[in-house]
Amino acid sequence: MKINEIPEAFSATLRIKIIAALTGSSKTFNELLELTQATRGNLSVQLTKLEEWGFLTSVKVIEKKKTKSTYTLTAYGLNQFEEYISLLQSVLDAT
Amino acid sequence: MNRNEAIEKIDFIKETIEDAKIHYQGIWLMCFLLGGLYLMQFVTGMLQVALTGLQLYHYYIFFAFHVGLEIVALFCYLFIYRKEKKCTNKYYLSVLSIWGFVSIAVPVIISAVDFIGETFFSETYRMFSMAPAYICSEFSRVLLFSVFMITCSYILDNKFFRILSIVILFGYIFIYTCLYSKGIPFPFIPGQEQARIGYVTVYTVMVVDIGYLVMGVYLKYREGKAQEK
Repeated sequence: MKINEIPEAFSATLRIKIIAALTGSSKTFNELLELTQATRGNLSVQLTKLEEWGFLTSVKVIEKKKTKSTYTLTAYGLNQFEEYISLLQSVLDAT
Repeated sequence: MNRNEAIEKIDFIKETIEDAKIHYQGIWLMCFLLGGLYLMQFVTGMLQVALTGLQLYHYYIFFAFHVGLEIVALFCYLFIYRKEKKCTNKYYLSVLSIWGFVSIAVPVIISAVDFIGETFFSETYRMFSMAPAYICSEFSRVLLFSVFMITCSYILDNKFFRILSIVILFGYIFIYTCLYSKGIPFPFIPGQEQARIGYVTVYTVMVVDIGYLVMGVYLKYREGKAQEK
């Protein structure tokens, strides 16, 4: 990954936070809400975009008449994230 | 992208990853620490009662060992807290701090005051005034374990632990108020067949002391499972 090839997924702080939060384990919508401190609407929009780009997948389950969504980072998303981290590290090493 | 931007991004990525981790290690380490400490104190207490022909200095040795265990536990707790301090989750750190303060620091303070009072203020020191402090210390141990069960219900996403916390507290208060003078015969003292281990003590050991060890094992197992995912 080069600086001029950074995917749009990493152009917003909130999206980077979502991806970072999902590296360890799957998270529900509410867990991501607490971790990112974003508004519900904004988080929902960013999660939809990341899912469209193939960075994560979601599973919706209905529990006690409420929909519970769980998000998981895909292998592609993790791979891209690792490349992004390497790029950041190379910027630090170069300067 | 410049160096400062890269540093900023790496910092908040690290912070997010750390916040997102399921933090069990500090909790199960505390469980083992407290369960082990309380059980060892119980065993030495029973030994002290069971052994006959003890001289006065033997009681001081038992007291010193009892306090020594508390001081060792204090250092172990500080080690655990220092290890967990890198976590940026303030709620987790505050729970760990409160837990350590009530379970470990308060008994050390009580023992220190007891020692200072008996040694340096023996004329005015009233030993029996410490009884409420020790009773409160035992009650706070059970109360804290009940509160810990509530914390586990959120960590493990299982409401059963909330019900358990109520049952534990109810059990202790019931036994303390209704069965305080009763107990299990303690047969190891020759010539003192009426000696008993109070039901309150048995309950505290079985529920709280062993309970901490059981929860420590279970939380360690759950941490392993979460990391496998």
